[in-house]
Amino acid sequence: MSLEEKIRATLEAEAERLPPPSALGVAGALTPTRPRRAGPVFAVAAFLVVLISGFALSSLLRNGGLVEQVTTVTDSTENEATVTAPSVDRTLAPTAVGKELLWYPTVLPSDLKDCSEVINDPTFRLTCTADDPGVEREITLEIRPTGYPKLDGEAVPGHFGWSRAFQGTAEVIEVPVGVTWRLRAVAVGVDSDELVAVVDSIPVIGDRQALIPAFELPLVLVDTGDDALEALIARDREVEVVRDTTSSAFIVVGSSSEDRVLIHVGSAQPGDLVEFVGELGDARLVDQAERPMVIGTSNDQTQIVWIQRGLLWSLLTPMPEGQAVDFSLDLSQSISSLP
Amino acid sequence: MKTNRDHLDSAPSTFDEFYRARYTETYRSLALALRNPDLAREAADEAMTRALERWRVVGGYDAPQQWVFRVGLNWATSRLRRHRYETVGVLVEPVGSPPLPDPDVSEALASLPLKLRSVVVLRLYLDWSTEDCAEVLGISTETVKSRLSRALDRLERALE
Repeated sequence: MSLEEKIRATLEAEAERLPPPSALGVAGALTPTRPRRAGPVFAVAAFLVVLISGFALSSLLRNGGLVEQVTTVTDSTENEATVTAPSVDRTLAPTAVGKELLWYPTVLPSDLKDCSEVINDPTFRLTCTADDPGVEREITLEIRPTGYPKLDGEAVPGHFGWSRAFQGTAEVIEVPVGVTWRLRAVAVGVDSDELVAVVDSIPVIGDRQALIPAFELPLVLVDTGDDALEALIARDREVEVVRDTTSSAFIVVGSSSEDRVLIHVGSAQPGDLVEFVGELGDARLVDQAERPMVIGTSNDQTQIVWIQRGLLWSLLTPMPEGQAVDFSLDLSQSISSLP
Repeated sequence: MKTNRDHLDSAPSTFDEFYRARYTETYRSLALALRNPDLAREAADEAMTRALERWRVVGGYDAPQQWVFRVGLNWATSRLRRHRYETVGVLVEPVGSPPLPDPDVSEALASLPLKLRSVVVLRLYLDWSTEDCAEVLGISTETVKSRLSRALDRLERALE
């Protein structure tokens, strides 16, 4: 038997011995004919499953880096194996930028340590260069409005909507972030695979799903009285509800310039939070929130936005960030309890 | 002899047919390349979901399964890079499985880097042509040939 025949036989035998997909997790078990986000009939259930399995995989992968536990179930027997990864990626390292912004990469080539940020409203730009001045290696990431000229490039295989072009010594990749924003990455002296991995590590691109809220029982704003909206705020605060249209309203809390909170509530689209990543300064996710909540700055104030009960809630306040987060989490809890 | 390549010419007309015909093959080939069934299942699910979302386009391709494999492999390698992981290199053996014909070959395959093993899986397990492999992996046909040659050399040395 030749070497190629031996390899074929081994691969076929290994394939037969693989655990069936349904034994590897809940999502697999739910997919008799369609993938996990496949159709409206079980879209909600599948979304929850994906969320749960995604978090499970994500936490598994983030947990320590070198040891992975794989559990398989065959019939009634459970078999757990612990294996050690033989090596780690040597070309990319966790980003040294030190911020957890939604449009910042979470990995960068390990020698691109010298990063600087330029905010030239309405664009944000991050440039990271090699720490060795004799080496010409650089990546620039810029989030810019879609009104800017679009990159005339070719499709990037496996990455829907991405386009790539080579301009002199630079490689440029452009990715639509939402309806109103695009991310443009320009690299010099960086391998194409590295650049794709860096762009894909940007949370608003690679983990966009984390910004899409789970389905909840919708709240019909027009049927919700002013008194119910006022009751969302603690009783010791001065509250006023102003309806600007039948489908949106302002809730104004307090009157002093230090602790005034302006809340706008209106109709939501699932991708709204993605748009705010380009809208807000220093956009990132609120830690430990039960749902995706984007926090950032707007006109030197703290703004927090989230989608709940089918509505977009936007809070703007001059309060310190910690207080604004606490206020938003309390408000979110009150919204959950609305009938 | 019927090979996996025989399926390339008979693209199903609906996503449901495609999914039923190709899911297992996609999952298995990704698992063999990644040596990680859990990640392969996630990657196959992700790739199939993306295929469904743009089936009007993907369904018109000559071989949608190649597009799906490419998307799955890219998704998995991005995930591996993001978390600074290399593949685990070991396939989990279900209880009661028949023995492998040659465990040494399996071990040697596991020792290959992902780039080389992907070519081996596409060429020797799926029986795809050099041109198809090049298209799927986004590399030239010469690189496919060179990677396969290097992989076979390394396997031969490992089995000596």
